[in-house]
Amino acid sequence: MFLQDNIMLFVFLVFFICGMLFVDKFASAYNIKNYLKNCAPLLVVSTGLTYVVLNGGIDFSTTSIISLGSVLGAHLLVESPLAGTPLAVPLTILIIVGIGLAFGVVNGLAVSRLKMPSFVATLSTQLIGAGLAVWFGSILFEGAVSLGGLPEAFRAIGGRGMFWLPILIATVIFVIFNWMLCKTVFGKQIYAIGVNPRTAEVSGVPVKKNIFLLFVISGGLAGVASIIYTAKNGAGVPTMGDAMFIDIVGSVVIGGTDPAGGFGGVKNTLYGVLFLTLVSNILNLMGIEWFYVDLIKGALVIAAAVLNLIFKNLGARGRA
Amino acid sequence: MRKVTAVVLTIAMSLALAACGGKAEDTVTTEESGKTEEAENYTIGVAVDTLDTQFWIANYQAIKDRAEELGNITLVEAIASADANVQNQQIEDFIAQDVDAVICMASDGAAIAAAVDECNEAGIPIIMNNRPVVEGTADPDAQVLSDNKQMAYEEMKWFIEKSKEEGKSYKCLMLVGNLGDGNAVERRDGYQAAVDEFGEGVVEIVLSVPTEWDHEVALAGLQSGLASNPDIDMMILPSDFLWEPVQTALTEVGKWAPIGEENHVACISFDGDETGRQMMADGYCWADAAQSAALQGETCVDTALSLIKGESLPSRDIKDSGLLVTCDNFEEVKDSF
Repeated sequence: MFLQDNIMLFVFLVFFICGMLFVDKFASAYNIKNYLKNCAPLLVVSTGLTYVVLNGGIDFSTTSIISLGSVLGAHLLVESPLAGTPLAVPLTILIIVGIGLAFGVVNGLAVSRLKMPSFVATLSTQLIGAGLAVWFGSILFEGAVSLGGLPEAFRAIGGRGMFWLPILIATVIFVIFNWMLCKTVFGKQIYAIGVNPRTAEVSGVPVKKNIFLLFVISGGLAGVASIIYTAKNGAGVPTMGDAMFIDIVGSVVIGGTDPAGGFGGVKNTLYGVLFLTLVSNILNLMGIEWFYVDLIKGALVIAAAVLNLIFKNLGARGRA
Repeated sequence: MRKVTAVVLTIAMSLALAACGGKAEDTVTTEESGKTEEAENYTIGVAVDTLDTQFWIANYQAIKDRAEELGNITLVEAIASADANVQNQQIEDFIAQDVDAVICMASDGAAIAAAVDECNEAGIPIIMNNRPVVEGTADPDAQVLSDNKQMAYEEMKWFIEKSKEEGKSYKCLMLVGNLGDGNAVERRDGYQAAVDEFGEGVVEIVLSVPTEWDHEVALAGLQSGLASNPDIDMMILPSDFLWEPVQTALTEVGKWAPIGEENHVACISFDGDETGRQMMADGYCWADAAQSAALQGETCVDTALSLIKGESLPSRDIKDSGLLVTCDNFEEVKDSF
């Protein structure tokens, strides 16, 4: 039973050990440090998405929250009247998280109150957010599309000078949201809604309120991820999140959370994040020619997904 | 359960074998170079933005050819697919591999500063290839660049003088690349400076269309620009990469015609790649500011080698002054770019 629930942990460990044994420089302190640093923001945003996927939904807007937060954050820190003041960093953090929460509120209302499919609602807000990011970038960045020169105090959040800080932030978020899912009534209600929302409603679960909250959580955590990504790259980039969705949703699904909802969890997403980031890291370290990297990465991800499926089926048969 | 365990182990074994394979290749390279001379072997990480333009393909090929020619250089490569965050991670992986130098075609001139800082801290020389770091954000060891602003300025100046000789005047649409790319900004500034200085009564830039170096974005901007300004009879392309959307947009409005024909729209371009050469040969392009992709690639490798050996450079920025190819000199110079 433990192996069935944690198969991706097992796969990750096998790969990690192989990396330690066979991949030159993989075990170096510098590489392990960077590997964990790269896992951190992906874990944060994927944790939020996990809540939505457990409900059988999807949140495309996470990527545009990352981009929009990046643009507005960089502007506030470098070019606005706030720049250089002691309040610049804390206020910027609050504003970026606020942007994520605002998107979450809009998504949550659209899905829970207006009964829009999450696919449609969040695709719309994703497009709006991506458009706003580029638009604000063109207005705010005085002729350039990206903006660097972020203050060191903000860049520390991305690990500059304090590599452990993004890892600590991601760990705290993981622990809190894993606990919420596993140990609270709210968490159990999310699983109940994911399995069958009608039954959950009949049982007295506040379905609309909970669905609304799921999107607020997802948006808020995407805002936190935006802060880490922007700090890590030391620049506001309007297209920062554009190519990230595959990794975000890939971490959730490969980790073992069922896209149809009701099965999985934040713990599984952690495995997915560790595995996907590990594969990229190992392939880069092996110096494999770039056109093979995507092929190998795709094949390994398929293999991991198949393993996951096999173990699930074995579990189902065992229970039958 | 045994079958499943077997599958896991097979994947793990494949990974292990692949890892061993990579190491074997390194050994062969070392042995080969050992035969030629007793030169020290070096590893250079090449961070590639994308390989979707002829310029980048030619530039990257030149890096590989030069490394092979020198014999004692092993290249490790990574492609970022235009994702600045991915590129920074890839350069961190180069540092973890203890490469001796990094050659970087930056995805974003501001975001790459984080990777440049990492290289500086690790004591690994980083050479920016064709795209500079945004001034003041970080300090790369060297930048091999086209003299974009000057080349654009000279090209536009030539076009204005030519137009004056022919007694013509133009209303111009200027395409602009991604403004996160210092090259795009410099080219725009060079064209604009020449128009401001010499273009009064000859060339008027009536519209600037941002392209983000994306065909779809460029085409949408061109279509709406030509619809709202039907009297446009000149275009500035900041890269030969943009000929495709320009051709599509002009064909749609019946203005894709070579020099001398009634509906001709005068175009000048930048890069001097195969597409640009063809457009010059076919008579659609008046001038092309040709930068040497191969020369810049080779210079990056040579510069990396100098920096690895601890030699000092005459200046951090190494400029390729390029070649102005015009419809007047094309036949003479067509084989030299």
